[in-house]
Amino acid sequence: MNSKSRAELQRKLSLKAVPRPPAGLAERIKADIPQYLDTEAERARFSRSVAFNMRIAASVLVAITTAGVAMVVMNRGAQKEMAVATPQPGVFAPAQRKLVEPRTATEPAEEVRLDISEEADADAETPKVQAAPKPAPERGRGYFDADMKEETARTQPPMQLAEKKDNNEIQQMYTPDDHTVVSNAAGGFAPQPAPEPVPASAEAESRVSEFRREAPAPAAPPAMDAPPPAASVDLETARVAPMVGQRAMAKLARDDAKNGSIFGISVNPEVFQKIRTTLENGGRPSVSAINVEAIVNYFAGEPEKRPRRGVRLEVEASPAPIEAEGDHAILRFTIDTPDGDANALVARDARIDIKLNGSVVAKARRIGGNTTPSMESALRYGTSVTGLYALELNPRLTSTQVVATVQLSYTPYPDGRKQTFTHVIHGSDLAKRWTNSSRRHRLASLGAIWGETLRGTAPGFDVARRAEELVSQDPKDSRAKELAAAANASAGGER
Amino acid sequence: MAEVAHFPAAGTERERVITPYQEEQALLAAIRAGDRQAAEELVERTYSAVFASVFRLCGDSDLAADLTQETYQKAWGALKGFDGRSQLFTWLYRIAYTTFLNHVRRPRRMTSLDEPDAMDVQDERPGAEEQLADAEEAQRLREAVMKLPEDLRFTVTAHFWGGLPVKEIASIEEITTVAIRKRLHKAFTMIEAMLAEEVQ
Repeated sequence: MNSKSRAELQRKLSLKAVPRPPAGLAERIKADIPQYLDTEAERARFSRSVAFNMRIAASVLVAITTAGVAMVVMNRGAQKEMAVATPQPGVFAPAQRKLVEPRTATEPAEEVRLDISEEADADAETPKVQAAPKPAPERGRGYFDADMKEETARTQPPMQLAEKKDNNEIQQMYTPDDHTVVSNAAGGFAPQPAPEPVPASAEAESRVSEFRREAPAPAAPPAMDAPPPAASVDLETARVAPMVGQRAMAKLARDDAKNGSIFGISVNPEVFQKIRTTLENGGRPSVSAINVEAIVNYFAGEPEKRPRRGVRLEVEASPAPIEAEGDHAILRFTIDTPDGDANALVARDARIDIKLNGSVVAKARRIGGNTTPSMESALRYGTSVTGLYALELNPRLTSTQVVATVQLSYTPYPDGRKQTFTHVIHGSDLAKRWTNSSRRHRLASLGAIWGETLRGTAPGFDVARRAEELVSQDPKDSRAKELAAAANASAGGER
Repeated sequence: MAEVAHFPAAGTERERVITPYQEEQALLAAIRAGDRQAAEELVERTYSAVFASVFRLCGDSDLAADLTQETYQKAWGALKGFDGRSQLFTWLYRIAYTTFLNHVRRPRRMTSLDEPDAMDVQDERPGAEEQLADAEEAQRLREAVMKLPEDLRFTVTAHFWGGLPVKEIASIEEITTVAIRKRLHKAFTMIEAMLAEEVQ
């Protein structure tokens, strides 16, 4: 390259005058200036709140330790008494069993945990921590209402499905530290954990509740360290692990397998199988047999590649495939766990939080369910769960506006550090066609529409044609073929 | 309402954006102390140049405006981590550049929900063909720059499209000015080769 050509290239690179910034850009930027610019005071505020949390946690630890010591002392005293008396197993065995009954021993721990969670969720009746993953009745108050406009007017932005918080939280949602989305592509990507510590005060408050929930963990006995092999977790025998948490997790894992639900979302594959059989036999499935959630999860299916470790959160949004008045979008979250023993636990205390920006989202509903996803106390290897939300957006949505924030938090089993992953959906993520979404997203949303059409809760839509398009793009996709066949069968083969 | 900034030639623009060191440090201190007016002044001083840099990266005015806004949103949160070693605009440019790359790396090509797909409109104005040729050349050049390895790409865009002097780029990249000049030289060679391939 000679000097002349270099000069020419430099001239070209120094491009001509650029257009003026659009009118109002400076005002838009200034409007985004956060309320708290004072980084030093913010640090001090955060330090104070952390110190306060530490004091609370220390108090809880002392209380638990004291209760534990008291129980041990009581048990030893009772055992000494039993040893002194004449041993008659038939007479004393029930009493002995009663004395070592874990329920009594752990009630104080349960009470403490309940207190913590109740404090943490001021606005919601939190279900018992060790309870089955049933949805908290108070959460997402108003979400069950048929008329979302009324509820939107009542709650006013932000509209949140997980917990009610004040409007400051929406401002805090915009802090760059929360924008941890690497990519919202489907089909495998590595979510990055949100950086710690989080500077915003509202986030610090939510961290308070998380920290409180974690507080009892250090008091767990060493027995928790080793993951119990499936065979040893037996509630009926004396080999049962003494801790309520461990028993509860194992029981919940088995309950999930039986009921086919994760986070309170049905993942039972038999639902679709039964519907298909009915259709193939020329019948029409009853409305009660059509569980749209389960259909969504059937067609969302397994990922192409499971994560190698940890729990993966996949979030994707697209315009809705159906044409209707207004701007409609579909938001999908999918959680995948690594391959492994299906009876073994990979994570505990998993929680999914979805927050919608009330100034952007006019209406929202979870497809196939009328409750918010609940906490999942035990996640097993080889599982996947998908949830879909139908959103109606305000027409003046800009590309930089936040539409939704989806956060997954969990603690790796048995004794890992709590992990949190956050994905933010912006208006720009919706500036695409539904056909450009991932296959998983398209199959899940088509499955949802087909299910709702079957139930009669959605207008007819040519699901079969869309599914056949998917098949033509990838003839090996068995799920797309199944959906196309089922949709054709339910439409009576008329297209 | 604030006046929209003008866009003089690159040299003058550089002078407007890179304020004297002491003045800049005072502004930064005021912003960190929570002075909103200082933050607004920073916006007024720099947003035009940030917009211009982003426009040169992406070639689209609306997108450049959105990315500029996003840049400042990130900047407010990252302010506490800014150590003042480089100039404020250099730091802003770095954020803008990363914001642009994040936008480009999103897996699907963004299309507006409202805009039609077909954008081919014949312009009957005199000189339109020449403008179109210039625009096409600019686009080819932009594409060639985007194909460079990351270190070269940042150096080229920061120097020519961000208006950053070599010394500032060296400071932010934590290497010597000699290394920066070598990068530029290597980048020119690669860009020339890419453009020549296209012509063939």
